[in-house]
Amino acid sequence: MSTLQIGSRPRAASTSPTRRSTPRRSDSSRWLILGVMTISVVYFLAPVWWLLVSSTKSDSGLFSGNGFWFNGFHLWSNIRSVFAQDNGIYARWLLNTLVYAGLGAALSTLFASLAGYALAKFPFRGSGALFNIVLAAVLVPQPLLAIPLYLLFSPVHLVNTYWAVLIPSMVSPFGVYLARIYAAASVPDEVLEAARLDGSGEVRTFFQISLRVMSPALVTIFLFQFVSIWSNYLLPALMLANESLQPVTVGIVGWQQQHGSGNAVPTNVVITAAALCVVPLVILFLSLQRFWRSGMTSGSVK
Amino acid sequence: MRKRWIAAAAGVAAAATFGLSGCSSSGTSGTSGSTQGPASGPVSLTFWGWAPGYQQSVALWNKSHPDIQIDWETVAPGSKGGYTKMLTAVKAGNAPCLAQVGYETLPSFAAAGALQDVTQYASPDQGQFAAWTWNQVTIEGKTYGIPVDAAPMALLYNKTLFAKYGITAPPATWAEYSADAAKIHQADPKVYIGYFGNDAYNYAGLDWQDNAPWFTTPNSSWRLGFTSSAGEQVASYWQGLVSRHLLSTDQSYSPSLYKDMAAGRILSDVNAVWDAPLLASSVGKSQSGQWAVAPMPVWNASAPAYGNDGGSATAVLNGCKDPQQATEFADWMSTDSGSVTNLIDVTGIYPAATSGLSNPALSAPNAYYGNQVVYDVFKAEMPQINTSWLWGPTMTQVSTDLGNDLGSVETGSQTVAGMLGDVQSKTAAQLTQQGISVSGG
Repeated sequence: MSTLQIGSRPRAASTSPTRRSTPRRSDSSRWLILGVMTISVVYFLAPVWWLLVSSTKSDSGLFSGNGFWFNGFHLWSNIRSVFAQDNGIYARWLLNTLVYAGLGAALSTLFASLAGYALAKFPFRGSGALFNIVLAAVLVPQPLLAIPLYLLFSPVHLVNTYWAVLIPSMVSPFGVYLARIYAAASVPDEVLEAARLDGSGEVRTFFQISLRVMSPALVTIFLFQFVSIWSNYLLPALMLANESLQPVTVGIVGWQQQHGSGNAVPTNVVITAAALCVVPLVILFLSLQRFWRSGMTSGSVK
Repeated sequence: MRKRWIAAAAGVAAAATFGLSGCSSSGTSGTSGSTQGPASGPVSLTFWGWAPGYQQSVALWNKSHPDIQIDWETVAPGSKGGYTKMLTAVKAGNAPCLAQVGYETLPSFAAAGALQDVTQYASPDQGQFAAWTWNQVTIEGKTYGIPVDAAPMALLYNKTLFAKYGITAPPATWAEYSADAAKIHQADPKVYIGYFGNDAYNYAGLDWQDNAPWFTTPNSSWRLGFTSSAGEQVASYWQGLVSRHLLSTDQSYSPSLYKDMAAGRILSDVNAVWDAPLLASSVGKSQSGQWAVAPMPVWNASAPAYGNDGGSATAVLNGCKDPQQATEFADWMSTDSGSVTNLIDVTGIYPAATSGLSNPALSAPNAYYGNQVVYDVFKAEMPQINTSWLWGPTMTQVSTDLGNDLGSVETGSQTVAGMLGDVQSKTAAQLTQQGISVSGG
């Protein structure tokens, strides 16, 4: 939001008749905002920069020279080593993560939009209470649920299967919250009324009209859920005991922990593996950015 | 891998939260075990761990033991969720029979009732292991598993640079170490003999050496010994070096530490056997051949005793239906020469079994350490490691608090003695909070 202000301020100033009298204050606040923004950009990007730079270094190059600058270029050979390590299990881990995050986020988006839409558009006894429970669930940190989930899944023999990670990933209280807010604000009752008069069933109305109107919120929900599943560690670490089911997060930590052992995975391979697993997220963000922005602000309106 | 898999992490907390935590291990072999098959026919047992190389040892066993098949499953490293998983699985009643557990975590597992007493099956194997390693898997007279590896400590030092500063023989005692520290620092104020790091388990090794255990269990209750007189001897010795600025203040395993070593500003490291390859790869090729390994400096040259920093066991988890077969496998894995050779080569362990110490895989000269057979130094120390050391049931908290306080000692805002008093009171509070009775202090 601050970026918008900075961008729009000069234009406003140039058209303003009191141009001469105001620049002092607006200049100083601009610099302040710019300073704060610069600090936060550095704060957030420095680790990413370090990761990118480090992924181009050889194992010995990592420990000599400046950590934030290049020291030889070995990115391609590093990537080859990542995919060759332990018979190429890294590709399997990436694929697993993609299944967990992609399928989990898609299904949770669908369920969240159904639930949120129903809560917004079909008032029923206790819908308020139900929504408040969902709101409360937003506040419960996911890792706290990992152990109870294990104890629930264990007697029904779901532990150590794809389902053990997928099923909990299909639920997103925050998604339900966002979908409800967005549906209430953006899907006009008049449209639903018109659809009903034209003989469209509720299900058809939902999929053909409401879902389309809600699409910015859906992208937001999808992205949020995708990122949180992608970076989830404790749940898969707890549920899975089979290397070929693991997502990339658990796999990389396993590699990293071998540091110092007889045939440890070299540090440059671990770092490059970590850098590589960020790439799909960046691609996803860049390609869905337009929707993402409109979705973000929609939640904050109400 | 850092052969100690720092503490039980969230595991202990998780156990406490979900009511696993009992005051002492009741050792009830529950009937809700996971392992299948009657004891008479072929038995299949599951083994959870994360170290590379274990799987190959399991494969070797399975080939030669058709009646007892081991099913290896790689789980997250202990401190990264693996221990939590094991404790949760015990609670859920589907834990595997066997698990890789660090020595420092075994008492917290025992306190949580997650281990199975296998004393009757294991006791015949006792003589095959260094005495102190057996004590690590035995708590209050009950044996819960078989030791796998050990991590004796030694002095890794840059022989070439020591000679440059006129030190031809590495310090054999702590008094000599202190004198050499002063000599080096006097010759060049930018150069230090070593560093006072922030590694809690490394400090534990120093107390271990001086027979100053942090935990003891007289009368079946925990007693804390951070501020014992032996512990105070260690504390005042290191406080002296820190106060005289004879040690660098680099943090343990930090890039700046290795940079200073590579630049010839830090000349030695008192650390465990697993640090030898770690240091070599971190300091880098420029000093290859310059380094050497000497025994850890001792307090009393006429009765040398050494410390340990790491090591782990194959534990038998509560609920195992075939504890005898599980113990049989665990013993085999730690003692069979084929298995031990594999664990030395692939996992990088230093064996706890006496027979393992003469394994040919340990007799290769190490080029980084001037073609010295470095394991010979550790081998000679093994029988003289203090046997009395016992880890407590709250090592996650202890190592965190001690690590933080060590950092304060480095910066001078805390003394070593003050640090130990602080950790002792925090540990007592944590034990009380977990409903574990604690006495003395």
